[in-house]
Amino acid sequence: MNRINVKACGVIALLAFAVGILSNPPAARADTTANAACSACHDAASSSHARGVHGKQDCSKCHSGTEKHLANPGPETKPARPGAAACQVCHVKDANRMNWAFSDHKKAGLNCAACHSNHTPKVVKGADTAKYKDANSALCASCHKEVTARFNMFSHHPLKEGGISCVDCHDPHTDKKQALTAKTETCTKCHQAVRGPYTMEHPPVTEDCLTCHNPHGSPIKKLLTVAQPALCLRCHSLADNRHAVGAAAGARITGAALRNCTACHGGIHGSAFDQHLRY
Amino acid sequence: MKSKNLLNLLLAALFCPAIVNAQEGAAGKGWFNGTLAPKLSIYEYVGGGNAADTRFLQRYDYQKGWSDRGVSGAYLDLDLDLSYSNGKDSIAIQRKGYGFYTHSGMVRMDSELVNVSGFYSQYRSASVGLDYRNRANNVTGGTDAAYTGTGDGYVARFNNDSGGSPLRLDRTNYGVGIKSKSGPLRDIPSVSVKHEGYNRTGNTYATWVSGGGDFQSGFPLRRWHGYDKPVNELMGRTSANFTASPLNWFQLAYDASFEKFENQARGYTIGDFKDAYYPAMTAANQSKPLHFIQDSTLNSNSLRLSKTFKNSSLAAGYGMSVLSQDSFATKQTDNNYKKGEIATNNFFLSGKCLAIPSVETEAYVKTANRWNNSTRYAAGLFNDPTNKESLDLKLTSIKSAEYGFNATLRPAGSKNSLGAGWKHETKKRGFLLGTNAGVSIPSQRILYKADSESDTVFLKGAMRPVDGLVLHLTPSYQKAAKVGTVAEAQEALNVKTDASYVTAGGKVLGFYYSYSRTRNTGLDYTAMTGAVTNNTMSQNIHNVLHSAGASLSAAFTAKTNSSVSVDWNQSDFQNFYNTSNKRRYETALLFTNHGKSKSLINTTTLAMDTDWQVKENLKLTGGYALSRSEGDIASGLIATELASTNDGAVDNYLHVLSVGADYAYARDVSIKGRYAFDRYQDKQYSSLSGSGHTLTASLAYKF
Repeated sequence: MNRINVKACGVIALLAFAVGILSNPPAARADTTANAACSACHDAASSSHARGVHGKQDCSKCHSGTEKHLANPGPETKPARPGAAACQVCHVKDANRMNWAFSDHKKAGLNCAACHSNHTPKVVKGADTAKYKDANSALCASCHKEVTARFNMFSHHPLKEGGISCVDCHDPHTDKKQALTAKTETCTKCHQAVRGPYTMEHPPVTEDCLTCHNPHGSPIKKLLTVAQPALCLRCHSLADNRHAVGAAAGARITGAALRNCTACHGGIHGSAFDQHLRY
Repeated sequence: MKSKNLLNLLLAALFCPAIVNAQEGAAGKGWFNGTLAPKLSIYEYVGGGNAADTRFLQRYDYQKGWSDRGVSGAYLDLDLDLSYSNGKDSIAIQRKGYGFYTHSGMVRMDSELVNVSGFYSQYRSASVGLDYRNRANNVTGGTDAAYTGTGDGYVARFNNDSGGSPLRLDRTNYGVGIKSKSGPLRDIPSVSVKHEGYNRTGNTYATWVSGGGDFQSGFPLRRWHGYDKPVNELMGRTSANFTASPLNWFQLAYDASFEKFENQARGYTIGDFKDAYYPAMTAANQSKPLHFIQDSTLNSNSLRLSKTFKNSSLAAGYGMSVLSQDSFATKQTDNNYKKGEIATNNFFLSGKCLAIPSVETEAYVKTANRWNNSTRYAAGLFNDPTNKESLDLKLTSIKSAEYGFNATLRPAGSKNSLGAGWKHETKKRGFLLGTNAGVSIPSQRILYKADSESDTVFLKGAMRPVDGLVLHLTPSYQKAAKVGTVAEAQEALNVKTDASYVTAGGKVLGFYYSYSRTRNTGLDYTAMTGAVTNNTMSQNIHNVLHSAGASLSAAFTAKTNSSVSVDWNQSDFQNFYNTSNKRRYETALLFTNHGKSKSLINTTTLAMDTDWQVKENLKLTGGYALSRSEGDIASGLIATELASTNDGAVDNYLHVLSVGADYAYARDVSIKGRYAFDRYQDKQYSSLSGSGHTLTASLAYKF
């Protein structure tokens, strides 16, 4: 059992302790008189509602017109479904959603209910769900078809396989223009081993990981946007006296040198001791 | 296995209070419900490699059974989804298992005052094993016969020093957080603190080539190596957020984060691969670490402000971070390399308003700066002090700025909108270049320049001409006055279109097409002194991307749900293949242009799925997915030179076929079964072709 598991177990034990304390006593329950009136008819909604983070809220907080409906139950007095404005009464003050007004999703005309269910986490219906081990990603994939297709390619981030989720890299509540991290930090918050600082930096790595990689998927291994050697030869000329047979100027450069530049230049993200990024 | 048992015990302990309360729930005091789903999986891989190597189908889905065999096996797993609420407090626990190496879990507890959450996930990948299988000696033509035996060429022979370690990586993520609930719901500040991290362990296959000065002459066949590189990384990040609404007038959020990364894997030096063939190697060269990964710390702080008025919004933010190198190799400190530091800051200011009815305008400015404050090249760090070879290039700073304006027309009562915008981007880089003739690259010989500057204009249209039909059209055009790198667009045209239509019967049709054309002919290098011909050499890059897709989701009968989608993607890339007679820092340099090389790859994916509710308690599912990639990744002289290798083309198929059944045995008990057949066929690397079978059965108990 490694250190991580010890830590994970410690965390869970701590949570168990916290829950043990905080889930008691029953006397602490909220006055749910109004909600009880709702759940008398809306049993399915109320049981799922109880499981969600909104479980303790009054129904009328999100469903306007509840009082009228309670006084005269029926479809004609059905309370309104909550819109984005109703959500933002509370959530505009949430740190993760304070820039919603500038987000791409907002500009595209989406509201909160497009991705969230008020009672429980929204789950995509239909066969798409089975393709993704992460429910959030299945939800994103239901709209972003072009990106989704890339996760079926030869090389891809393991999204469908459960290794990563769309929201690990993308914040659906804001826009890139409101990001306060460096371009490469989106990648290096998981891939710290290649963030340096390096004695000898490779400029495209410093500039933007997307210079060479497509993070969603690629028909080329290692998520490369273009296959080697073309990818590298965008910037580099090949020196005959190191890459050609016989190391002679103008001599033939063969498959061994051309097939995979990183087979020799293994320190492609940067190096501490070799200016040619070979180790 | 012990850790799993311990985890289960802890889960049981965690649920003690909830179970007690569940009994109360029966008396009307709370709700306790959930699903427990034990499951059995049986799998087998056929072909695609021998027992010691990674199979293609294992690269992202590495399964393991009770035995240690990776080829076939069986394992038990458990999915659970449990929740409890007493109307005031709630707790939810989920676990999803996909084998010994891929599973995740979360726990979340909400009370009126706080939210406490925790998660863990484990994931095994083996994609590094694929690269090992593509090592030079394993691939037809990988080490060209022209190089072997005679010692010709700088990389005459590949030496495989692999000890046969399994090439796979396990990543275990974990985290715990606590957040006060007062912020969003009341007008007093909220605070959240969380700690998250990961442990990444395993082995990768790393390659390296020694420099001419690393080994004494006479042993050129020993320059090129590959070895098993152990991985043992530990990351921990503690972050805190403070959110407030001072005087209920504006929103404020302050974030601070402290992240520590530790590399605990054994490091290798060149000297570790010294053998009888290398009797003579200087101590200085022996001590050179290979692929040195240092410990590092990242400190980040940011402050964001936002204010929403009736018809306008304003937001601003400032963030800064410092990445520091914590551990140094002896060879670094011995050569006065004692500081590794990258500092960044970012700023944005955005505003939008409904300037006139139906027209929303937005303006923004954003800056991002990066400074490399590390020690500059120290003599003796790269090579022996007697060898003065030094590229002397250091990127000291990157300062970028972006500002723009856009307006969107949304006529009152209309569901259509039309937007137009413009943005201006600049980037200024700071270089330190060597000045020693013959050992430093002059700036004229690199395709990397100090300044970038471009303007982009775009339109965004959204139309709903008839009920159920939504059309989007987003063209943009970029023109650069200055380009700093080959990856930037000197000129770019992008068009994105999509359409979706929902019929009255609920069928959903979708279509998209995207086109991107990028051109960059603005960079060249000059040989300068000593050049006789080809004094100046341009790079010429053209990149065209197409992607298109169509999808249909429909309930063709009352008892079926079906979807089908087809996607096509084409990447067409061209650039010049240039060589030089010498390395770019050497004198009497000559460039030679060998013409264009072209890479053209088509990828087609097809996905079909259907659900059939046969009876009220029986549902059948089926699906098929195909991914097909083919094309030439090199043309011209490069293709000629790659002719003897597999690397000149891409030609592969990936099929996934699955069928399943979901049978509700009783109201609270259901049985699920699923069989999946995966088939990978690679016509270039036939040794990767193989199949996989997975059969999973689960029994779900819902309460």
